[in-house]
Amino acid sequence: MISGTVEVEKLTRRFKVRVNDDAKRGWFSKKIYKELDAVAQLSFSIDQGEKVAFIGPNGAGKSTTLKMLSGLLMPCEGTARVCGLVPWDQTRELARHIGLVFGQKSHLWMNLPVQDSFDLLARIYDLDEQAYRRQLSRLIELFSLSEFLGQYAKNLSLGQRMRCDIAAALLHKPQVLFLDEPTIGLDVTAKSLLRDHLNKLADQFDTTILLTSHDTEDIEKICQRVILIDHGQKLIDTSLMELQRRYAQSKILRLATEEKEPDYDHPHVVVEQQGDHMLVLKVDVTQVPIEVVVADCLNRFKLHDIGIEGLPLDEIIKMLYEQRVCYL
Amino acid sequence: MNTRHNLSVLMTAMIMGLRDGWSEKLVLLGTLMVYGVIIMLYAGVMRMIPPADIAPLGLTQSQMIWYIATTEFILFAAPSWGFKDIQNEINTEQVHLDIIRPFSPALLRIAFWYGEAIVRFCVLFPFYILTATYFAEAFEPSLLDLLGIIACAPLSLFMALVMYYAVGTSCLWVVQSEPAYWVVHKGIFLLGAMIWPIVFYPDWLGAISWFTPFPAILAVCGKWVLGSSALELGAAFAHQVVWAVLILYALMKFERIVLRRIQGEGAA
Amino acid sequence: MMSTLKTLAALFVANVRTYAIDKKRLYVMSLAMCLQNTMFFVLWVIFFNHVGSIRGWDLVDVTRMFGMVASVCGLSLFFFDGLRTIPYKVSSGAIDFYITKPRHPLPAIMLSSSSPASLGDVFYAPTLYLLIQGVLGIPVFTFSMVPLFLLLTVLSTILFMSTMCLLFSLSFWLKGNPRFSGQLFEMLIIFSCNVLHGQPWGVKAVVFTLIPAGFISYLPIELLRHFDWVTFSEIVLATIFYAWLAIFIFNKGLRRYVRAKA
Repeated sequence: MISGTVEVEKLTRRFKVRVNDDAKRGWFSKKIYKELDAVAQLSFSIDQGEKVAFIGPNGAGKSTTLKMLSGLLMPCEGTARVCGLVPWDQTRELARHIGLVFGQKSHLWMNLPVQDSFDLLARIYDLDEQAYRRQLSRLIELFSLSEFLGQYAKNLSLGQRMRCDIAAALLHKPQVLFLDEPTIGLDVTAKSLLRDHLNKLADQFDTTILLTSHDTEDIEKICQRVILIDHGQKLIDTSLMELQRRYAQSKILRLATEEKEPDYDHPHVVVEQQGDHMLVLKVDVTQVPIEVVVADCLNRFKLHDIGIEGLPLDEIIKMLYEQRVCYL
Repeated sequence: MNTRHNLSVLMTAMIMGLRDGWSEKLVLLGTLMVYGVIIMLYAGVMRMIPPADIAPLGLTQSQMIWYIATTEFILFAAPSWGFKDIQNEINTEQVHLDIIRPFSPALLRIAFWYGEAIVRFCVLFPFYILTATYFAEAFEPSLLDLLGIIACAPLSLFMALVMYYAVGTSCLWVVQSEPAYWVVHKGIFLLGAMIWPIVFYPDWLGAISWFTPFPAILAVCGKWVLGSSALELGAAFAHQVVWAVLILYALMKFERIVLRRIQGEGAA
Repeated sequence: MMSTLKTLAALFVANVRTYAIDKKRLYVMSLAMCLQNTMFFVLWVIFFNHVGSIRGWDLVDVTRMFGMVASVCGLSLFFFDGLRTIPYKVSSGAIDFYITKPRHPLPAIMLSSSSPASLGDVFYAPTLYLLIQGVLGIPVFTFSMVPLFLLLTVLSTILFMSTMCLLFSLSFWLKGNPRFSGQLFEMLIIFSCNVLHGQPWGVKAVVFTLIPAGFISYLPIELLRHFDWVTFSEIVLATIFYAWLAIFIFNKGLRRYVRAKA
């Protein structure tokens, strides 16, 4: 039963991998291969306008899944529909409904000005001239592109190029945008700018976003939902808030004290950092409620300031991979 | 998708190719240099041929110089190095972005190269006339012959570019595209009769070559400077048209195979 | 000195080891190279089928020339294919890696890559000679010619790679444009595997100066026809001169590159 914009059911993709692929084997060694499940029995559904992060360590199967969903790779088993189309059978029809951005690949023709690439893409997608001009001017404003349009793509910085690339992927107003490591290699400012642009984009166009990234800040700033995979299998599929609430077993307590060398001792609290008039504690909230520790600290110290933080997302993800438990 | 859409995409890509080709001034200079050198060298060889040896074939030294100048001119007008770009795009998976567009990546690329080829054709044309006239010490073709060459060139260039595209994608099967390039390129030399006209060839080899698309790329254009009869020229042109249609058809089929290969293997 | 040699040997061994990893690439490329050489050679066979000889040069001389050029090209690209990567290294800045090392960068750059197709070239020469002489019975070589042929091949290889170094070093001035340098290299190959005997002065002027193909394929074959010490000395002197010139131009280009970076 198809209900979402992206529907995936028991998607599986295997690759043949050479196991004796090293030089020391010499000239006459026989090639030995084994089959590896890059994606195994993966199922999920994404509704129109959802912003979903698809995360996992290297080799988890994120990019493979994205390639299958955009029609670049055929699965060994399972089915998928994107905008009601089977990606690998209806690749060219699907192309009108999706946009694809890879961090290290470009939609632009490097030896030509950016505007030329946009014009050609508009022709390829058979866009009505007026609709194209309207969309382009919105994207120019959204991604602040006006100064780059006349420049050769090869002369743009990585951040500028990425903004142009996302705009290029959006010229035909795709329903679904696949982003594979869009912030890779960008500096802090460029990353932040790009995230802002993507949020504005989702608000304006109601575009479904499926994002893979190793940068948890991308996920926190852009997505509402997280699908966590490892070894091609789904570990978690939940909202970002739920993930942080449910799986953050610790909280960080930051204290600024009157006392010069504050110290704290509790079986379920770890002192993370200790310094002049400051103390950072990691509280295991499954064993002791945070309010108990806070009350205890108020009793023990003369506090100038107090801060409570959830565990950073990358810590949560790291912890989940270490435990490698199937939570669903 | 309709004809209007197809033509508009192809025209835009071709114009982009024109601009790209014109922007590479140093490469154009290098092309003229290499072309000039080749004609100079082979003209030297042709001049050393005893006229009595080629008279039975109905050829003169001057015709042979014009012949190679013409075939090399067509070969040089078609940018051959594009196959490396295709190979590179397959290896880096950049090709993925071409695939997920609602237009044939092969035709788009060939249209782009075609734009470059037009620039090279226009830049080389006067140089071809001057070089051939200088080394042959005669202006061999008539105005009609030159128009004939110009009329045959579009299909010749198209076929050469399709071959280079196919060569570029060969790395999906045979580790690297260079081996296919060497063989196809020398196939154009040998079976396309680039240096010596096909009348030079043993009968069996000449017959084989006409069953391949290679003469449609070079020999058909070269025939115009050999004083061929109208019947011969008409037959050669028909041969070219037939092969161009076959090659276009094969390209469309081949593109599907390439897509399936990438979808099956994951490109790199 | 010993450590430099050890490093260079290690680089070469690393190149050869990559062949062991990807044998398919080695075989396919070598075979394709042999095939393309053969297809080009067939063109000359066709030519001499109608034309007995051109000013004394016949199929035997062209066969010798083809074998010589294939060997020279093959040996140069087997050991020193890194020379062809100079334009890329200059344009991408990858040459910085070599500059920052305590040794002169040229030897390491030369050995930084080896062309798998070059083995096809190296084996092409003996195969061609055996085929023409053994199977077709056309006398290409006498036994006494072999030492001279080998000596001339070594000299020509040095000259060929010196010219490669010279041409690809021009990329220091040409903004690392690899396509233009490639075109110049193409000219070297075209000149080297063409009949230069009996060519007009214009061609001779080019092949004994700018693109020294005359010393690589023409004079060695002339020597195989009639040995004389003057011609032999010319080849030796040209080899020394172009080797010096190649290093000189490379160093000059490198200084320019470093100055531009500073």
